[in-house]
Amino acid sequence: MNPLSLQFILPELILVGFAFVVLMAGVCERLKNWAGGLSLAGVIFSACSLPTSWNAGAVLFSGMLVNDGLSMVLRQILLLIAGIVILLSMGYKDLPSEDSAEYYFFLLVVTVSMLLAVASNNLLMIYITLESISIVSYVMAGFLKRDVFSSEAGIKYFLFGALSTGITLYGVSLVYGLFGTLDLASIIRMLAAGSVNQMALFVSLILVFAGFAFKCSLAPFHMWTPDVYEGAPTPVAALFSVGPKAVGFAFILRVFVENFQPVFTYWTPLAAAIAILTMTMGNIFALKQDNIKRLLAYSTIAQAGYIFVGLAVGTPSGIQATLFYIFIYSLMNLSAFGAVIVIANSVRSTKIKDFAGMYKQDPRTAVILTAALLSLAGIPPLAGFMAKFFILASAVEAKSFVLAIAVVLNSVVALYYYAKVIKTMFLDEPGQQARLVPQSICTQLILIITLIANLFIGIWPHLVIHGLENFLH
Amino acid sequence: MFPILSSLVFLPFLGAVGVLLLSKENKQLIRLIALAVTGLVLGLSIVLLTKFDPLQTQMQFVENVSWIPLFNICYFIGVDGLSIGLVFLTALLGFIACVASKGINTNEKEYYSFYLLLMTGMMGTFIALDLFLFYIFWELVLIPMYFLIGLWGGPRREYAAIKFFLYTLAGSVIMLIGILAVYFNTFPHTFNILEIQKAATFFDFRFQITFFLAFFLAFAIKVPVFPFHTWLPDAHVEAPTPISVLLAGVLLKMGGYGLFRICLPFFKEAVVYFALPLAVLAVINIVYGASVAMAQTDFKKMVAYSSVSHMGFVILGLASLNITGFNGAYMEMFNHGIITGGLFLLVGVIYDRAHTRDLNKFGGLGVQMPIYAFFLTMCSLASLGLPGLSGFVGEFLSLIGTFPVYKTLTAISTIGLVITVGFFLYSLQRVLLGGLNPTCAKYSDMNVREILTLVPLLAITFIVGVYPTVVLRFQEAAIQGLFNSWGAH
Repeated sequence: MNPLSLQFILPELILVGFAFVVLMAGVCERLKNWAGGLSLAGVIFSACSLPTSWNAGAVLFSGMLVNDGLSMVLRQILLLIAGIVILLSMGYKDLPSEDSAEYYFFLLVVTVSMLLAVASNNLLMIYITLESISIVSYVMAGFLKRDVFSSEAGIKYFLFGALSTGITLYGVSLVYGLFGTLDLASIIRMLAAGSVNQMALFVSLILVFAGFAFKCSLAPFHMWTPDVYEGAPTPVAALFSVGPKAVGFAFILRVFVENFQPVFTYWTPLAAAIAILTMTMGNIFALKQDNIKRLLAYSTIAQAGYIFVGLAVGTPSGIQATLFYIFIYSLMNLSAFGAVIVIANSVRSTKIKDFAGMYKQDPRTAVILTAALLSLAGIPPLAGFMAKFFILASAVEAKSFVLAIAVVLNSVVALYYYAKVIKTMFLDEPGQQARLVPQSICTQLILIITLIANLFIGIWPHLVIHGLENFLH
Repeated sequence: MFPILSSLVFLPFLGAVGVLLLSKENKQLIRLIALAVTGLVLGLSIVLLTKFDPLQTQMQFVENVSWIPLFNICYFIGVDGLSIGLVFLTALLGFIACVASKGINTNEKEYYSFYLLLMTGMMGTFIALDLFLFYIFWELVLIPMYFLIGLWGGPRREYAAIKFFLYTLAGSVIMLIGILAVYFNTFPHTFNILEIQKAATFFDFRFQITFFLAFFLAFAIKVPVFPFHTWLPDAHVEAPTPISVLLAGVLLKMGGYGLFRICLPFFKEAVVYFALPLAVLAVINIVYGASVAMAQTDFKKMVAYSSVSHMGFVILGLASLNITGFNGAYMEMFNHGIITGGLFLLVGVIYDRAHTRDLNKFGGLGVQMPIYAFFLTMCSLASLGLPGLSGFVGEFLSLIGTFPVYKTLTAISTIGLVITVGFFLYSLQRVLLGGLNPTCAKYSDMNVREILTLVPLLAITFIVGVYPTVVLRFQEAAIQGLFNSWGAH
């Protein structure tokens, strides 16, 4: 085996090692409380061992994985997400402490799958990582086993997920029938060389797309999202809203935008239609929500629509805007979910009306949630505005004015429900006196860091853009 | 060189941060800081006025630093004759409204930090010369305004705040598409307003029409132009007095300023094409705004609708497409800011005593509050356009400019003037004249603080009314320049 291959997956190997250490720690009574800290250490070590340069030509595991700019960017983002989610989980009071080791074990395992997923360059590998992310996700969604909603979330996620990954597998098998290989690099060469049955290719690609769209919660595959987010433990919902979504977009980017776009003539109109449908459905359904987790779920659907605009446009600036958006979106959304965790610890509810007067009781968290929501709404000078601006710029540059108008009109609709939460926290009188509970220092700290990042990147976006540019060219 | 414009923008911002860092209990200190900062801004703006060379058409006090190189975005600011008056107006009303904020006695810390942040946004809008920067400042105004109306406003404040927020956001996001389209159609791509003005002659007609409308929508909502005015009465009525002053005095001017700074030079052919519809809308604003004001029983709502009517003259002057009209429109913006700011302060004075703004619940206050009666009469007369006071000059110039172009429309718009005289006199009659309403017998006259906030406004109204050149000389060269670049096409 190529020694480069092993070196490339060193971060994953470290995570697997730590995952088992965490599992062992769970058995030992005295080490139990260290599970979170250990997994955080694992993520940090793993991040330190990420490759420092990319080389798309290197053959890793016979072409199964690829070390290109895209995988490099996304592995960094995913490890950052995993780190933040671990810190948020430490402050989540509903997590049964006797199960916490298993929880962090699953968290690390799903991170390993996600890291491998974004580096996959073979449809088989893509399918396997997709499935392994899904299976761990089902367990995590239903992790609060004494909570009916959590179990329901697990089952629902499983049923929808199994169906859509099954469809993807069927599509993958059709692609294999057409090309005789699942290696994306070989498929490109064959596409360039000879003719393929357009209709068959179209059908198989649509089927493959279904599973990816499910993970990104793109309409019409978004139905599971609110139920699962509502029932799943909040840090898990936070993870689902960013991690697997980033992976799904990476798959779409790798398979559709980079490889099949030249032959897949329907891609641009189809993708544009899906993007508009997704953001509109997400925003319209979000208007009526009274539960913050469901509201955020619909908001993530809408955000997926915005992200997808960059891919629908498909130009280099669109791709760059998409990656930038995924990064910013991860920060903002984790910040929002984290603030919800902290507030819900105090008010013991995720109903929006129970957040009334939160500004008077816990001003810091209320401000953090407000900043995250305004950033999601795309209000300058927050990072979310810059992200939306780059997406819009790519759409206008490609003269897709329909997409651009859809994005901005949706932003206005979205502001209404984001502002509703802000209004409840700032303007409404507090109901029953919420009992402020002591919060985890780690969670507080990471929330403040995301707040600062949110402001800082909003004012100096080129720091991140520069980073991205290095990987994309 | 001392970055005077940056100080104007970022002093309030630093003040806001400073206020946020203080403890809630230091109410006196918080208020003192806000007063000091806005006072300093006013002082700086006066220095700016004295150092400004009104004869130049070039941008002055320019600062230009690269900000986001990827999109060629710069931190590019400067003032010329189009912006200097509005910068001074913002600084003046910012300070006066801050003095008038004495009545705010809940959550002072948050109030003053939002207030100062609002100052940053308003200042920045008038001096930004990079479209992207302009947009950031333009939007920055929304968040503090939302909270200022929503937290310290009247009974229907939440509705008014969200309506204001959604309305203006809807306009400005469409403008954002326009900004991007302009950027990608300028070669080399740039957000620099001055560069785009030079390149704008290459925009083809269809492009101009489409994106004139995109920008116009944002500005029309802010001005507000009929039928986009419905947010204004709600926002004005619910906002606390000092915020109403800024809303009418400064925020509405952002729309007018945008039309002159961006729409006129960028989309010349489109402006010519749309001149008649613009003039028609302006006349509707004037007549309709005045008629609705006539029907109000709420004092504040009446003043709010009178703003709709007055801003119609700004649009009318612009639609005349000649120098006189432009000058009139620009004068009107400055004068309206001063006069209507004063009127809102006066509504606030009576509201603080009566806790009602119902015009029918007053009467005979002329005897009870003579000083108040003096100020209210003067401001009303100025607003209804009595010659010798400043309101007259702008409207008159605007009408003179329009008359040769649209005779019928000009004639119709004078009906609006008559109605304006009607409702102001009618309101004076109901508030000041007649027998003293017994419920008003305990009202004390204006105190020193209230008088001090109004004296400078009234003084300016007098001076400008008698000697309009003090304002005109600042804007004339710039408007001539704008017109020349325009006529040359």
